[in-house]
Amino acid sequence: MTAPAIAATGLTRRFGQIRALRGVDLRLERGRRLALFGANGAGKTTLLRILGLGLAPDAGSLAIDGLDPRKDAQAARSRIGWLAHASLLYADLTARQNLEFWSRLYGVEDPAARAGQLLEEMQLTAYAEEPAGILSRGLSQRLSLARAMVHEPALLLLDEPFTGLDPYAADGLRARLKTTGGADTSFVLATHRIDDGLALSDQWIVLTRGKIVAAGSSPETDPQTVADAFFPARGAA
Amino acid sequence: MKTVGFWRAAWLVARKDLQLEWRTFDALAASVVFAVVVLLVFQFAVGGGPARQLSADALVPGVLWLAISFSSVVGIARSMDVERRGDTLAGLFRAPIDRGAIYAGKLIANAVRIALLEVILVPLAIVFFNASLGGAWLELIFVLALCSFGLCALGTLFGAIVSRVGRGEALLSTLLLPASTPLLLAGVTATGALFRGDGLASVSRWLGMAAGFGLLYFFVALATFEYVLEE
Repeated sequence: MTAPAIAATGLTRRFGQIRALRGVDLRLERGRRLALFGANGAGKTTLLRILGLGLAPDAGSLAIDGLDPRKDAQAARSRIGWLAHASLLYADLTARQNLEFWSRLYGVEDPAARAGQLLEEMQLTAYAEEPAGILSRGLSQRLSLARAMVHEPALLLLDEPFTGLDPYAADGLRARLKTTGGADTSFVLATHRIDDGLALSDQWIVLTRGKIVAAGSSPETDPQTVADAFFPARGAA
Repeated sequence: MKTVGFWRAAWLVARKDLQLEWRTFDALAASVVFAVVVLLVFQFAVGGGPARQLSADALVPGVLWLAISFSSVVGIARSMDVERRGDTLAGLFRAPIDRGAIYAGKLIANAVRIALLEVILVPLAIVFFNASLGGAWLELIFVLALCSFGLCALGTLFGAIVSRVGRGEALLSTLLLPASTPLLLAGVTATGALFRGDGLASVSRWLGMAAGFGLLYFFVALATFEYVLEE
């Protein structure tokens, strides 16, 4: 039986007096796509940072693709790809050099071939020899998605990937996200954009003050249902 | 996918840093310009005043290590600034490699930069101050390598700390220069001995101290770097 992409129980995390996460349980099967909704300060980024193994929880257990990060940290990290508003790209290296560098660091067998393949998939071949720093925000975000995919991760974590994109660039990224990865690639998409989140995912959850307060299956959900959970006061009104 | 070992990962990080340096000459150019200005200012000040009575072997070691230490701050801060722009240090932190290898790679790149700076700076200092080293070039290279290693070991760690808290060169120099004082004193003393023609045997205690501090800084930094990078 295939291990789930994420199996988390009782994740908690405090920052001083602030309880950013309060006992989050989450299970995401391989190949499933999860939209993570919540207002600012709800705990979305903290949850993603813990799932991305950039931050340790104060309590709770976590397994990524069946691996316990406390016992096998490097193997667990090799299963994860990360796309955020920061590009994680070197502005003075070309698009190709960036992809080759990250491919080598992730132990990809043929970094040059993988970089070429990803540039083609993301329709960036024309910009392959341009420094990443001169690319538009939309192209840069596509290159960042390619960077996150160099090692074909089992789990892709997306933290507000549409921030700062114009509608055309957002369309481009949306199209890439729909086709990115194989049937076994799972992703968690943290976003404020309810329509995008529902369109790109199979299931969704809403975080409020560090707790999951609502969850459902995306194809069967009306955006208003999420909005009501997202802003309970407005929903009640 | 292959597992990337410690030294392979360190080499990849170092090579990437040097590739970036080769494309822009950002950190090296800033360091060299700063160091040459320090030499020029001192040469100009000494040229017409009572300090002219000082012999070159008394002046050069101090001026040289002053220029190296301050230029290192400029160079290390610039090299870390590259990581801050795209939050790439967080990307390195998430890669499936030993996190100590990130430190080792950045240390290697910083050491190469400082070595290149010294290749330019030492001949200039000798010419500017009309100093003579005799035949002690190999000994000078040894002293420069020993003390610069410690400076890089500490500077790379502090550079990462400064980069994570979003501060620049001012905080780096506040942290690095006081902590590297033993290395700088050892460097000045040993370099002075070479310019006086005394040889390194007369300063073996200073060299031992520089080696001890260098290794201490290296191992402490290697052990703590992961926690520095933690988000």
